[in-house]
Amino acid sequence: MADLGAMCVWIALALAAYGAVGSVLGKMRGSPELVVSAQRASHLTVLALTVATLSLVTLFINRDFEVAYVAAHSDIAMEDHFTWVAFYAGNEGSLLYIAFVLSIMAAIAIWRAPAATRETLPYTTGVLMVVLTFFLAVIGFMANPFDKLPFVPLDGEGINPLLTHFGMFFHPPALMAGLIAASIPLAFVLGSLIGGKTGDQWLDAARVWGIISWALLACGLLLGSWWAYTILGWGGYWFWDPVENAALMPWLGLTAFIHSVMVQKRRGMFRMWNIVLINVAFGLALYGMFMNRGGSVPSVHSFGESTLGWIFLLFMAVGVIVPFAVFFWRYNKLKSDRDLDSMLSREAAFLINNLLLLAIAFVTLWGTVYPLLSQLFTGEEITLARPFYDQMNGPIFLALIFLMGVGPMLPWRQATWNAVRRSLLVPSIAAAAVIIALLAAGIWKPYALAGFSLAAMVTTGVLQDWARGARSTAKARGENYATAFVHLVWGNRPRYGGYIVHLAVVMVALGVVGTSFFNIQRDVALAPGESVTVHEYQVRYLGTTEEFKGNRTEYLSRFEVYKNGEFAYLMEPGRHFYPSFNMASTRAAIHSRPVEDLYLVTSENMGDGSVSVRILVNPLIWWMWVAGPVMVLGTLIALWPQPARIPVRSPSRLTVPSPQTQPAGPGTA
Amino acid sequence: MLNSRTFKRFPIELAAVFTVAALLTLAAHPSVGLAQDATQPSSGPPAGPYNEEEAQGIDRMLMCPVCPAESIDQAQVELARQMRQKVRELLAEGYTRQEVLDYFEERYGPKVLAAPPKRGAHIWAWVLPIGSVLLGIAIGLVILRSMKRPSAANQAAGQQDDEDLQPYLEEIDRGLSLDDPTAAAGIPPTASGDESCPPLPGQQGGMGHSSQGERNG
Repeated sequence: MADLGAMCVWIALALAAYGAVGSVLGKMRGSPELVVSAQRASHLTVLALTVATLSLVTLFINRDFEVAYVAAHSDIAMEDHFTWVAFYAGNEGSLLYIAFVLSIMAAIAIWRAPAATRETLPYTTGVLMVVLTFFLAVIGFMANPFDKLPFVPLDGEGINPLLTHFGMFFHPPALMAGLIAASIPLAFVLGSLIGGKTGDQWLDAARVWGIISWALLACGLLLGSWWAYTILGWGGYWFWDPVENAALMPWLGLTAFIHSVMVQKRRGMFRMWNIVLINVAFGLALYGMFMNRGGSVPSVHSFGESTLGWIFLLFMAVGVIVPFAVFFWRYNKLKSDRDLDSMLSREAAFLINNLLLLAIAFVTLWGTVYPLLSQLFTGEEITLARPFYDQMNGPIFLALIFLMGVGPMLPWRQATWNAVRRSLLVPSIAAAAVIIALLAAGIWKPYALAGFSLAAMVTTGVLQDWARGARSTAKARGENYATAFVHLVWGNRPRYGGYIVHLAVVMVALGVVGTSFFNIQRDVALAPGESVTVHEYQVRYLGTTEEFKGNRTEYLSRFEVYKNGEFAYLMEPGRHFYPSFNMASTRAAIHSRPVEDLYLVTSENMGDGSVSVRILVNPLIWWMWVAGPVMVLGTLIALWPQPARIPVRSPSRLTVPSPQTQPAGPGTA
Repeated sequence: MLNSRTFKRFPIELAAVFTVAALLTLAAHPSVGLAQDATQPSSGPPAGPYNEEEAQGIDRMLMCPVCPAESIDQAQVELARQMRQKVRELLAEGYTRQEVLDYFEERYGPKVLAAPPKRGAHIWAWVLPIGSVLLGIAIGLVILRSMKRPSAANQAAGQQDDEDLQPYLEEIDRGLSLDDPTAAAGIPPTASGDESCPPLPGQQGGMGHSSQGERNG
């Protein structure tokens, strides 16, 4: 089975390399047969990698410890369903997973490529296959999950206990898939540019795949936060850990891209800027993979120590330099055919949003590299952790949320002051009302005031827009409001899907503000029968049971929670101690409600039955986890294929701007 | 009544840059800061001779020296536990936040601080990104401004755009603006979808002239 898997990896490598060389050569030499054959080869990588993936799964199920990777990431006691997690618990497996996902996505992207990109599709295929070839070469030559040990160990080392959590079934695969998916919009852009198509041909494909990559990263980030919240045992969900940052930065870049690309779609502007954005996002995604797989910065994610760092660094350099080189090669042909009408317009708001998103990405990048620079140049080791990011990025996030409230209210092209006032009046009143209410309630923290009032502003803005839209649709069609609302949303899915995602972002913001400024934390040691009062909760410790389960000891502590003297509910936080790792994984007990979570996590079980427990009251964090499904819903609506009833502007107009629309510099006025 | 001319006198670029600058300054100011900087002496009853909230704030500003990228607030190893204890002892002895941080920096080196102080050699860690972000935003806005077309071209191209885009825009905003008077008037529907007082041609012209004057001046 290991031999079969290894063989399939090599076959896939050969197919991918042939796909890359064949499609580009075939296109350049004008040989359609070669192009078709190369395209088929690239589709066949899916088959080869499916077999390789299934082989590794089978090896795990059989606990074939002769295979080094299986021995290192599983043991006999491991439950079978954790095979899914063990598969990508180390470098070798996760690289195979990335290659597998890339081959599938590439096949779908090539198969479903819009007509406008057909002509340059061989170059797009070439770019995708180069990326796939890189990953397969790394797997084949440096990190082969099918490598065998010289002997067969009796038992494996076991899976990292921190990974045995429900969130781990989705968080790493979503992130890795999201990171690698960023190569698809890039491939369409790069393919079009190499093929000399300097118009908007790549736009639809890049937008769809950009959103897919973006949504996968967003899900991965939220699931990762949820995982950290329930298992890391300190009651937080985000720590600006270098690897978290590595996933956040490409997400920010893609957020900028999927917004800005709408300007190109609607107004034919920002074409060059969008190419720069996707190049940046792809570079950041490569950086993310570099940090993940062989990064040089200490992190709680250092599950897979590896020597792959240099190879990834090199590939990252190539992956940044080549797209920019192509961009500058075609630079003169890329000018957009429209100019900006007014600074008070949705276009301008989109660009400022882009700048702010890139600012956060830059600050975050700076935070991850500055410690390395400092060590390199001054020899002094320093840390840039959460206080740095909170203070630097917090205000920019607030500015972004502000823009999220204002931007969608602005019309394209040019707004009049009257129109702005009309659409912002109600949201501004809502924001002011929230501030006054909070001040009256005795809350003076400036960040919290700003956060809550901006949240109110965005929410009212979206609701107002929906209400007005539904009203006019209802009037025009003689429908009731509910039907009219559905028709409204369904009639312009990219926009209203986007609004739903905006509401999800507001929910996340509520959670962040609530937990950052209003959480209550107590660390106490309790003997059985003792109790402690936190906020409005009286927490009484009953005792702990101990159970030995194969590879771990499970401690389960029982707490009774009373509210205002009345018994409310029972909470049972657990701790699983793994002797072979000398590591405990905690299972926090969380009583979650929209207003606040009561969060109990035990940090130590003493011999006399007493326990160290951290008790947290986390306001509003419930909203953050609800935001996930809402965001997915919004993304699906935005992505749902729009039938071809919207006429696309004729291509000739896009590539050959008429004399009237020739951009004239301000100097000529 | 406010009109576009009034707005023109207050360049949005400057406003945006100042807002961001103000927010960044706000953030960098130690007395405001985010959660871990919150130095309000107490919002709950002090749990002894020291303020527990203050102690937790300090916990989050100190890294656990033996764990990868975890603060002593998060880390569950013995050393972190002892350090948390020490923070509370020092606070009970009357140390200020800064003195506690200095105490740990002396013993474990600057690496123990979750973020370097905003002074001395590592001021660059703070100043450089703020500077770059402001510079980047300023450059972006200048470029954006330079993309604005001059008024004559504005008018001509605007007409052209409207004709070309009209069917497309109408279709996009169909759900919204079926009864939108602007659609018939040949002016693209606005974002809010029910813009009932469209910009008059005269107004647009006025705006164009004023921006031209500004540029010449």
